[in-house]
Amino acid sequence: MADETRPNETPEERRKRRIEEARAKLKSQNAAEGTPSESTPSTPTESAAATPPAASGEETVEERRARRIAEAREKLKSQQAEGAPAAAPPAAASGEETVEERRARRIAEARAKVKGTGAPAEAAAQPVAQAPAAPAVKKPKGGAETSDVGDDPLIRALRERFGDSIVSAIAMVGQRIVVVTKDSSTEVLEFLRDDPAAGFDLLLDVTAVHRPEEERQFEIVYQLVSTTTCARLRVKALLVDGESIRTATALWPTANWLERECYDMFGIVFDGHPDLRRILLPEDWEGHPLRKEYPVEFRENRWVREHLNIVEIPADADFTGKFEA
Amino acid sequence: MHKTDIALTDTSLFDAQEMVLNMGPQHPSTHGVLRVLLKLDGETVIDLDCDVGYLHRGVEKICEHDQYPMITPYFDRLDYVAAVNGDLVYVEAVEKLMGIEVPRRAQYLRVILAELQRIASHLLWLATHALDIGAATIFLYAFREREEILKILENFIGARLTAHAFRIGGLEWDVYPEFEKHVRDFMAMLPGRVDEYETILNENRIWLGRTVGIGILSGAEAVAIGLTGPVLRGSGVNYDVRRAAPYSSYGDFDFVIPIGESGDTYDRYLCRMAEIRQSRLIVLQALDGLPEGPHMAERVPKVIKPPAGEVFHTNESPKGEIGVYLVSDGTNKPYRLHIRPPCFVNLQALKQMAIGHLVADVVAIIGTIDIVLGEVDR
Repeated sequence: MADETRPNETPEERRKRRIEEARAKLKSQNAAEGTPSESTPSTPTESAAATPPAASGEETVEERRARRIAEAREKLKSQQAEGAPAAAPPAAASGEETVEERRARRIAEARAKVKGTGAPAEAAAQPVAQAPAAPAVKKPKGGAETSDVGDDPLIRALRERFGDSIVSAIAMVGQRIVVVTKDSSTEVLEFLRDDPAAGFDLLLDVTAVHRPEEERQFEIVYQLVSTTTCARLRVKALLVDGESIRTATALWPTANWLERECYDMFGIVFDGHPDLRRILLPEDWEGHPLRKEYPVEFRENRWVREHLNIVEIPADADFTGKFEA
Repeated sequence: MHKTDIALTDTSLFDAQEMVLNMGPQHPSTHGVLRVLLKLDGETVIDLDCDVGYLHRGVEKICEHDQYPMITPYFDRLDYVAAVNGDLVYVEAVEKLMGIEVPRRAQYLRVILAELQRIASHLLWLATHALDIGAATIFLYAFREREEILKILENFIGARLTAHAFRIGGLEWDVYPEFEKHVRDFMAMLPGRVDEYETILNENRIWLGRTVGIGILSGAEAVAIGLTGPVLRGSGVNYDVRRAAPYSSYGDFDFVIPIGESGDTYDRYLCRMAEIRQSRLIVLQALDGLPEGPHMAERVPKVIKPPAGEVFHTNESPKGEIGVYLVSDGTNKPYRLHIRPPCFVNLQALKQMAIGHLVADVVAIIGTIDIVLGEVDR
């Protein structure tokens, strides 16, 4: 293609101009095809000739498609909203017990386990309020350098607003850590996201730490960052084994997969999660590998026997080859 | 073009139009073992579900049972087309927790290697992405340049893919004698080659048709879904860890963070091309200012035992923000090590980006997210 070079134009500028030209050209093409607006995704490659004239009086293919897409989008949105009655099980799930049912059963089992150990899940809200007595972060001798963050404006604002819900706050190697009670986790996170002074708009990570020797075995760890001020904050909530915590998917859709991974690896249940299934491991895997009691060595289990087609070799099997003497 | 027969578009004939299409895990354009279940109306995607985990190796669990220096090679194998960047975030996390000061020469060398690897990763992305949507020439061109980088890495480190040069406290080796010449030769050649790619693609009618307006995400949507890296910046959000929280010696260099505006596949492509040019500038600055001195910190203990505590450290990998959450109990093995994988989080946006597009566009969108399944599945 001939390149009309213009004098006094740097390559950078020429490139920009040509992209703009390409964009403008494309836009004019789109307009010619009658693309309604930019917000409706449409494929610009579809030429006018391929689009059939909307002859029939009722809904055209095009319209139905637009409606269906809108419906699907609506569904996606409603799934992200908290408290949405757990969405219908994925169509792919076949077999007797649906994912939904299994999840409900597992939650019930986990709850029953907590009851069995004498810590009723319903009463858990009470002791949490007086939790500050227990040191939230272990600081053995020779631990990493920590500092007090009592005069940090953000921590002060949090304490003022949430009072006893803020269990503790320290800074370790210069990183701020706030421990909150499990019942207030979503409120604190919502405040941190929406408050203009805080402005933590990006949820980087959700994960968990298992400390079986502690009474509150599980730490749920949220890593927050602000894309404008670049400030960072770590929010933690402590759980007893079998307790569940409210999901953050309503605040950040990104929590969806991250919480699924937590559930997969630790068995932690997130209440109100739209789609709490295993994500990395197979659906019918047993156990949660990142719990400390789960061994790292291979252990024969039901899933491996069923799916990997391992045949047991009888003890008296004869290994003599066909052509051996 | 052939005119479609009107009778064939009568919808009553094709009422049962919804179907579920299985794509992968052995599909060439899913870049590994990704399985996507597509719910289609004709050729239009109306819903989809990703099935990941085929490559799950339990890296986080294995790390809890390995000593600190033994863990670094696992990070090569997470994002195996950007091994250097994976190593960097891990060794820096351990150094941060232990308070080890890395010599400036080592920091500069780390930046040079990391940026070379970023260029290599972007070139591989360009090659495969373009091949997926029908541009085979670019594939050969980009691999030609990537080969040069791999040669430099091989000379320096001994490995082409799983480049493992970084140790806790610095680098295993100092540079080989012709390193600077090789890098400078490559950098002298690179801008012309990137121009070549852009000549082929920027105004290419097919390329524009396949990328412009495909997979649009606004800045707010991209932040909410947790995107980082070029995918986020393509939507116009100015957030790059190299600038936001400069690690290693990135604070010393002058570079621009390319930002897209329309948040479509084309802008993400432009962002990555511009990033290649910026990475080149960073490497040249680092070479010019490369300080003399040791390449390894003194007094790094033989047995690495970080003090009890925890640290979360992130880097800008070619794919996005890669993070390491490290919990130590004071022994020689981590108590818990969590990897924040950019590919895993970015892949989650596939659903939002693909709904409403054609099946063929799903291929383009998977390509534009730039995933490596080794990191998604860990």
